[in-house]
Amino acid sequence: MKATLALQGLTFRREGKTIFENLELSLSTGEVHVLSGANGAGKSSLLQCVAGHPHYKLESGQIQLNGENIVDWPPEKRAQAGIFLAFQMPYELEGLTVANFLRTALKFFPQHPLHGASATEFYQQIYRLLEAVGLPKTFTGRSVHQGFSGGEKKRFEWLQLRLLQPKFALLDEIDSGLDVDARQCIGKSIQEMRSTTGFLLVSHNQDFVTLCQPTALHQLENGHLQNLP
Amino acid sequence: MHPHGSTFHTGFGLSEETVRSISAMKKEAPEWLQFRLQALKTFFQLSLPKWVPEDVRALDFQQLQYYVAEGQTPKRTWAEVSPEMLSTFEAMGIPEKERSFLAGVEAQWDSEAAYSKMQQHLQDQGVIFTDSHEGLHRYRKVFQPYFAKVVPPSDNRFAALNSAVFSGGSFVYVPKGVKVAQPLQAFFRIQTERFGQFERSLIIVDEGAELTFMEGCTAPIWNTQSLHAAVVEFVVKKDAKLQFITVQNWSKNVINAVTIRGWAEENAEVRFIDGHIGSKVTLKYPGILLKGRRARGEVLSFAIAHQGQRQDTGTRIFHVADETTSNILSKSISIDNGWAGYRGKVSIKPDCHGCKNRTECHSLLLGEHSQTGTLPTVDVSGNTQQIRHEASVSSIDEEKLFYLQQRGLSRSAAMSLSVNGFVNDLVQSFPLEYSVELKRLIEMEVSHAVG
Repeated sequence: MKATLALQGLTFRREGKTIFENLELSLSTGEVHVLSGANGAGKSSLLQCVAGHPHYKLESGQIQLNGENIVDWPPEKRAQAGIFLAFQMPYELEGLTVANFLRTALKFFPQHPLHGASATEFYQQIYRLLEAVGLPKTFTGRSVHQGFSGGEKKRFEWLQLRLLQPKFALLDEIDSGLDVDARQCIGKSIQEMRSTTGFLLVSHNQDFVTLCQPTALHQLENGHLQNLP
Repeated sequence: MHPHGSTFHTGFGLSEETVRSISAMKKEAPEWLQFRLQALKTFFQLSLPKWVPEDVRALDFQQLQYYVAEGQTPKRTWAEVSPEMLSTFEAMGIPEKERSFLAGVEAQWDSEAAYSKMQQHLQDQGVIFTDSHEGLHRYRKVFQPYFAKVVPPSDNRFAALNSAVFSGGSFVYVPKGVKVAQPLQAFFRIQTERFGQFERSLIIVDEGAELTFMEGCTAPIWNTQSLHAAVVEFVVKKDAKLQFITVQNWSKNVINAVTIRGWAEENAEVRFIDGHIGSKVTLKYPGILLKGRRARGEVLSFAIAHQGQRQDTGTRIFHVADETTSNILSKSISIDNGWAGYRGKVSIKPDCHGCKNRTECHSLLLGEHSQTGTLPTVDVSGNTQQIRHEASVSSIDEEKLFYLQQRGLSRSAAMSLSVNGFVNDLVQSFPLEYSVELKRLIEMEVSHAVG
């Protein structure tokens, strides 16, 4: 079934400055939208607003998920409903292992095939995914993002995207810091997932954008979204 | 009327008469009565240091009961233990832990042990694991040279009180060269309301021997206050090793003031691993005297203080021999208006050479009103010593919580994982059976905090 995420009239200001105003965007599963714009144009802010970051409160507008306004939903409810944000700079979580983190997260996705899975099934799947994203198995015992290189952080965000199979994926420069091979693999992942996932991605890399075979291009400039041909 | 209809009790209040009746009920030799009476005098003469919190000062010693027992003697099988006690100990998982990984168990109910047993092969090797009464009377030759020598009654007001009214506790002796592979564990249960538990323990690890000793404690929740004022003395001889693990989960009406101290001789090693979750106020500062060359001391501790709790814990290490080393790692978590912090002392005697100490204190604050304090004292002279001290205070980063919530975790689960991450390295130091339980307890404490 096709799902839709519609941003309607979103306005967000910070410290008196308009970051974006009356922004409109509609994204459905099967689509890949690319968001471009200069540094500081508000692309990351927009993704944080959609994911429900408590410091990114919208002044007005609605975020409709399949017709329901989710503006008042806490971030975890949005995540559980299928909105995934791959962070541009993911946070280091001291003392929390990758395995424990993923297992705990899966507890909040009752429909996920690995929800309530045995430790063996869980590890088998995680090892497969680690291999697919080019990380060693030993990462299961590492603290989340702690001491990871820039590229490893992106690979681990990508792993989570593949594990959680969200309805909507907001990818904030997931390609930055990755080599050509890894970028191609992500591009391939996007093609594999796009029949059930809608993508909104921020990237400064034209080659990567091409790889993703976008269905729409937008540019954020002076707080307004322009659709590019 | 006594709440449990206990057969033996002193009633409320503290006087010479109380002490005499404890000694009489325990059928002690007259010299121990004299020891107790002298300690009681010391108790009445001493006052509490100025920094002791108000909740402890306000304790009315005349409103407590000092000895309560149902005439129990330590049983060797669980079947002989009274059904009420057995069901409580079962709820605490003690018989199960004994079967799965302990070499011996002593379970104390109020003033006396209800169960005490150690594996036969350890008995055959001369290991002693019993209570202080048996130590005083049956194993006097081994016991008496150290009893009240490491912690004299005049050490502090609670040590004096303990010396006057002590009952129960553990006496452990591990002979030369014997390595006890599995832990021995003592469990302490306060069952009676407005009661003081004063166990007295002495642990002697002879030359080249090794022991892991564990303590756990719980109590039901009453609205009135109870007191737990234990004294633990330990002696770790040349080349011996002692690991002492405590999981303190008293109910939040218990004032917990424990004096625990001992020494390590040449090339001996003492390691404390402490977890403090319960109690209203805890005052506990394990002390290690490194008196032999190359002796090593380590204290790892974590404490959580919730609304209304104060975890005033720390470490005292005294280097009095060359090339002695010590390591202190303290992590505290304060929630709501709780106070958890570190108060400690490291001293190196001026004529010692090549001593090393490293101290790390980290505090995590949750909520706007939580408090912590790091109060270290370092007393070092000489130019061949190495001292390191690190301290940090942090709060849980909203960005990290958001990251976890963005992966579907509820806010309380995100908080729990973050807090567990903060103490994870310490929790991993506990035996597996306890680290799992501790993680669960920490999660419960934190999830209450975030509602």
